[in-house]
Amino acid sequence: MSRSLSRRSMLAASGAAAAGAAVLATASLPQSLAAAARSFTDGAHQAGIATAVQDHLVFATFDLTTNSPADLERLLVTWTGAIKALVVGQALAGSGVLEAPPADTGEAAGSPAAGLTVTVGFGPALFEALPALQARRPALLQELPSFPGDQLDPGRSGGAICLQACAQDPIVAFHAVRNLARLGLGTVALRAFQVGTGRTTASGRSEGTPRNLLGFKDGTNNLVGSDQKAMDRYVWVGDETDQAWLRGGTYLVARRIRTHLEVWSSLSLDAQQQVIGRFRASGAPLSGRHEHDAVNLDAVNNLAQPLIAPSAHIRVAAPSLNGGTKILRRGYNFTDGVDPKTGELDAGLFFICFQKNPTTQFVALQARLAANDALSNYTTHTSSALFAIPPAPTPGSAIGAALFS
Amino acid sequence: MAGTNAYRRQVVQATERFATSTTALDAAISGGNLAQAQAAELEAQAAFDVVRPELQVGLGQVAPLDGLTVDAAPGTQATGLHAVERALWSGDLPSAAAPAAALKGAGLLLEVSLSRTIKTPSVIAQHQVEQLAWLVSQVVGRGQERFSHRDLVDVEATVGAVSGAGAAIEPLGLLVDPQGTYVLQDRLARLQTVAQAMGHSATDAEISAASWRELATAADAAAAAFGTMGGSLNGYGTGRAYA
Repeated sequence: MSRSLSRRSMLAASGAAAAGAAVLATASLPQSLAAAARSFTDGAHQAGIATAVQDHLVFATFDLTTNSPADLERLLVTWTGAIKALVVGQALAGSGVLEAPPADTGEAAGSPAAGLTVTVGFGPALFEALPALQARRPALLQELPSFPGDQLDPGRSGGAICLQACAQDPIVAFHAVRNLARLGLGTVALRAFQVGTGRTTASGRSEGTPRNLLGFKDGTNNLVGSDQKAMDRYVWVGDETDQAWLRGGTYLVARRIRTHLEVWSSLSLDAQQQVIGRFRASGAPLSGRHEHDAVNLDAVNNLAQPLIAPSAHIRVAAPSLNGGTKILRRGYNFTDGVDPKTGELDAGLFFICFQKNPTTQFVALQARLAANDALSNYTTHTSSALFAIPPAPTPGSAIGAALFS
Repeated sequence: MAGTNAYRRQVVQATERFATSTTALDAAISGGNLAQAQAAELEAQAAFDVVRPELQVGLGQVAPLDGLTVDAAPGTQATGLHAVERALWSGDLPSAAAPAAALKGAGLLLEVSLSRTIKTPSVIAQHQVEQLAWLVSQVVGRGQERFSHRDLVDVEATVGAVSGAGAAIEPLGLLVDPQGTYVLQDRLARLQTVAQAMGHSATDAEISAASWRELATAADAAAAAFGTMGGSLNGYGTGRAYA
């Protein structure tokens, strides 16, 4: 339903109704749009996590420019109202007078809502910038450690707040983040901005598994958001947390992973398949015939050599060799022009994953991958960030409101 | 078989140089001779660059020798070449002693373990793709930890090694895939020209960004040609005579 909604009609409607209010509240939404507003939340959780993965991403991080928790609380109220409007294809409403700048930047006017979701998270830097909230900082919310091979750009890493906007239309996702950034002026400042095109994860087996820029199907055996039992086990923060405000939320890890495509493309097909551990065409593990065949790490060839090499990506990342843990991936391909140093494409995977415990899940897994994964010879991690994602707000409250109560 | 043997000689000679230079490194440090130690460390780096594609990252063979700080487990100190390099170029000779002694032992083991390197021409070509990948991503892409600021050592060694490998497979290549071999020859010649133009003794800061990029572009082109040759040479040569 949300795809049929047009900002053009909503611009007109909102202009008539918008005297003075910078942002709409959901109470003002037409009844016909109420159902579409479900993409604002996903039950008890923020949308954009378990939600079916959209095709486009804009991921932004922000620094705080205030040391007042009250300023942040006000911004979250403003953002919550704005997000409710944006996800139903509604433009932000302003005064409508010619003498004032438009409240909405307008680039998505006429575009459908495009399944937009916006997910908000808090980084370690937020609690460092706001000592008054230090007692509310989850113990697990620490900057991620460095891993072998990391070449992190500090400007792209970290951040006090993140916004993950996903949509079927890239301009809709861009529009959402741009307008939220404008609303945040004076309280937050943009730190990093990443556009992702082409999701690299499927939402379920009914969807074909998408391919990454390496040409391989990516995430065949990954956790899917529709598996509620697994989500409860691996993704949603439960009673084990030391911070009640985070219960029902999760942790988001973002890593910009540059892929050295020129060299990868010069590898033989066999070498590529050995590095990944799967056949490129079918996506089947080298121990099987079909994409979703179980990965048999014990399978050997006639010479008693393992079919899936010791350093193959799917072996090193296998849950069975990582304490059984899993993460929910939600990655996107990116291309950011040409690397001025090498003349190669600056392209790769903007890796996002969700988990309930970043230390025992992502960090443990990445430490193993960085040290042993043959694929790490062809990739470089250039940014790193961790954010705590609060649950969906209760009716009438704002995202993250419980942080201040 | 000639190609297999030629490449084997190249690798074995590099392991011998590595063993010799790490022994000299250890002796120079023990004798308190910083200049000699630095020279020996750079020689060991160059030898290791030739050997690197024969080592397997996944089996943990590279990290103890290369010794990047980031490779060290939390709470432990890096060992290997970069640990020595860091100590030597900060003038801290005593801190170089332990990792240099470990390298001396590792050098001898490396010489033994790689003395029977048997690679078919196809695999030799494929290894050069990875060698050039390392050059672009780690040396030009500035992924290496820099203490001596003498990355031209790595450039010279790597370009020399891939050129040697190219020469090793060339006779068979001219028979099997002359066009692909001519392309590889041209691209290796271009890579050598670019590397030579960068000089021999410049420090990293004295090399322009344009030069680094020119090197990376030439290396990527050579890597693609090696990749093609790897496919063309598949099935030729078994190396059994040396196994």
